[in-house]
Amino acid sequence: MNSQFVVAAWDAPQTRPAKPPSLPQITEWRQQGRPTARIADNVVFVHRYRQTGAKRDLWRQVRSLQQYYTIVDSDRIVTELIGEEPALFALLLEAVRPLRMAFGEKRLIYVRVQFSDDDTLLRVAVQLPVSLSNDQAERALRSFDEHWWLKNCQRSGGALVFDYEIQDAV
Amino acid sequence: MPFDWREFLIVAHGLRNDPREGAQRTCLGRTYYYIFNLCLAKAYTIGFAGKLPGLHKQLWKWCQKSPNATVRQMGVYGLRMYSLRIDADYRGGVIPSLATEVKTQLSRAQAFETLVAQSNGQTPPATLPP
Repeated sequence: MNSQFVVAAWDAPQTRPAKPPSLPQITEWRQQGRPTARIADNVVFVHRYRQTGAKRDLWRQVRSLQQYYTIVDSDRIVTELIGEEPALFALLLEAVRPLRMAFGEKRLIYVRVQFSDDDTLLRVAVQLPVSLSNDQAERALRSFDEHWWLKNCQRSGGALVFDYEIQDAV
Repeated sequence: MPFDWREFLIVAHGLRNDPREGAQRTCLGRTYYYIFNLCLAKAYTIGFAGKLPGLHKQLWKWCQKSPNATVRQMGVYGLRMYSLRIDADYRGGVIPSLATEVKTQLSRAQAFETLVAQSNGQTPPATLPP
């Protein structure tokens, strides 16, 4: 039999990337739910495990913050900052209620990252209508400070700012 | 004679109604640097030992962790003013409501100096006209 090799399309040489694609950073595996199978007398438990990586958790955290805040920057930048200052996530969730109490229930709240030569801050700004005077806005902010922020600011690593912005089109 | 950092506030206050964006941004920056230096001097007398670089965040973080409520309040106000100063000096895009932010920054600086004066047992400096 006359055999001849034909290079199939799938067999053609491929250009490989210089390095493998980066994988999510795996920090731990977590058992999920109850065992789901058993075999004969030798009891074999089959557990389902869920991979939990630091990045994956951070993305989930940012997603859950988006229920309450409008993240103005890319998710990646906010995710990185929350990765550096893990307390920020809990603080942002806890802040929702006192922010609403001070400024009203239905305000848009923007979150963005600020960079300077030295520092990175997460700025949370309640968007207020121009009909509200500066004094009214400052009073609301002070009320937020007194009722909640001054008792919790020490947890933020100096990386979190709560403020308001008066916008024409709100 | 040491420089009186309040001159920054006087300069910023003088520029507050100048419509040029550069002047408005300068107001935000100079006003912040007044309270930053005011607080830095106070903080060094009560145990702050921060060093360059990154002194701004170190200072406000240290204040926010203080057991003293007034110092903690300085930490919160100061970081808020720092945030406006970062926008003024690093944000290339439009800053919405810049004129309002200038007013806010100036009034916060005066509230800040009152806090510092009270914590030092001194009379606060005279209020500047709106």
